[in-house]
Amino acid sequence: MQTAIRFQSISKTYRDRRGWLDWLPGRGGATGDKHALRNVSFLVRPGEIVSLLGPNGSGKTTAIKILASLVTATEGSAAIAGFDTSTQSLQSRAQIGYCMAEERSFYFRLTGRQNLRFFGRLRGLSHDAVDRDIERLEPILRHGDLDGRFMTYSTGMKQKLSLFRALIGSARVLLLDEPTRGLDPHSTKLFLDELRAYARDRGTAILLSSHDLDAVDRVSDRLLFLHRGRLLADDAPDEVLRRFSIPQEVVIEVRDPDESFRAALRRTIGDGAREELDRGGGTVRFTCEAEGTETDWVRFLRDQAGSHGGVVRLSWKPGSLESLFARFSVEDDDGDER
Amino acid sequence: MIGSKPAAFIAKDYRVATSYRLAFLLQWAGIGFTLALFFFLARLVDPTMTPYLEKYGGDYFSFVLIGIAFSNYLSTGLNAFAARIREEQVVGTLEAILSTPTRFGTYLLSSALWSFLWASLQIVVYLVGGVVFFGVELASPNWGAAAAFLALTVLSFSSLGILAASFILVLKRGNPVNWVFTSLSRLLGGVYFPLTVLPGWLQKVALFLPLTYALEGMRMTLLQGRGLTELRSEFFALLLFTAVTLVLGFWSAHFAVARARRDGTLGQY
Repeated sequence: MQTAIRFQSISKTYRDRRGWLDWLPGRGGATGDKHALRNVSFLVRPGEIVSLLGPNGSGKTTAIKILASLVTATEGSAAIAGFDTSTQSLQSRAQIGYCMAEERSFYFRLTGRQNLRFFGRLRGLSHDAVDRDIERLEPILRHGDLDGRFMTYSTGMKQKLSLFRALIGSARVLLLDEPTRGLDPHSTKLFLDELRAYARDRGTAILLSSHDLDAVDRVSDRLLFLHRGRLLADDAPDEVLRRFSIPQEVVIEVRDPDESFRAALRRTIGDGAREELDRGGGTVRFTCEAEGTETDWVRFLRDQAGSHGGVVRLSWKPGSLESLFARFSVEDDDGDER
Repeated sequence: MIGSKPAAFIAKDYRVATSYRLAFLLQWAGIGFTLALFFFLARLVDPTMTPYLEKYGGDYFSFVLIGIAFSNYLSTGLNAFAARIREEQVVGTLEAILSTPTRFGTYLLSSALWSFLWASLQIVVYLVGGVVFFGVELASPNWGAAAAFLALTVLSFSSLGILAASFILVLKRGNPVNWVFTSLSRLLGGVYFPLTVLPGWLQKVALFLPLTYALEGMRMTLLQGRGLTELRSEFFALLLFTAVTLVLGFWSAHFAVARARRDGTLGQY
């Protein structure tokens, strides 16, 4: 089967050019250089949905921009549908639909439809073809008013327009950088539900980068987990969780816990518990990696009986992408997205 | 026949320009005010007292009208490419455009088309307005020679503009090409007065500006009906300048795009 995306041994280093002399060929401060990607390789097949996951600064956007020919790799090569993104960039760009992470990237004074017609024309589509695609995509994006000026759109509508721009035409590869950013939950669900069918029916390969972990979990055939420019995992979501030994999580719901309860929890499992207040008030849900047995937790709750108003529920759930993400994000608080 | 991508850029830029209605109208009004301003200023200049204007027919208003009208191409050429790139970077559309199957050269040339059309329209209005309302006489103009000078003028100023745009792509702000040519050309290019009024050494500096040859060519073809044979030295000087700046412009643009892609700064500003 032909490969839709080939990303082979790619490294990308952004040169640090602070001084005047750094602009000369071959110059650039090595100390401030940023290694965005380090020897990263992966393939995506037609019809497959693959998600790029990783903390800020892990190299996701750089990877997508290399595939869109907006950034050139320092080492290695990338290809879209067999066309090298560097030496055959015109042909490779003809194969992609690109949803950018930027909220801007449209002409504010034009209407949504005029914007789409303009970008459609740059992809060789007539106005009629763009209008037909807009109608075709209506069930997926529920676009509302495309004849209002872009500057009057809500954040969600701007994002829909960005998705429209990627989906019009017959791209063989979709590069979706934060595709659900700004969409309301209903629109997100609708879009994701349709995205699977879209990829399957058209044989379109989709590479998406997102911090919406539910979305990633719901649609991805495979996950690519990037951390500090290195590809740490390339597998099905369950396999990735297994590889990183992301354990089950224990969920403790108690009424009115006081500080001594939280302190006891910290002594037992460290700072890793996520805390949510139930909307009704009073009940607090603590979620953390499930170290220990059920007996251990029952004993813990009994020992702490004086520090809360009663146990509402004690349950377990499978390890999640959120836990995986949290584990690596803690190490990368100082990272910048590129 | 204009290609579909350049046509899309023209249509888009027309829509954007006309969406700012007041600014659009004020530009037209500005032409009228400029014409009137120089018409009355020209009354101060007695033709018999200005031997400097003799070779152009002696009428200062006709002289300055051609200067103002065609120096529009200089400012358009120098500004349009760089300004459009900067605007696309700020609005965020540059990366969106360059992720489509559109060559950078196609984008760059198409992005300035509307500006050149607009400048051409303004020149026509300047000339027609000057002739119809202010009595300028174009004595048997040589349209063919004027068209040849016009073509070289547009090409040479565009090449300088592309060179300027390359600086914007790499340095983001600061445009030395624009600064040098705009400042020098306004003073030394012969827009408002003949070069012969300048001291000898400044006249020599003016020989290095394309505007000098462009305006001399346009004035002599339109006001005096001269042909290319008589103006061959001006024509070849402009041709040489155009050839050099075209090569320099496209080489610098190629270098700048490659550098911006390597640095990941195409969309940064």
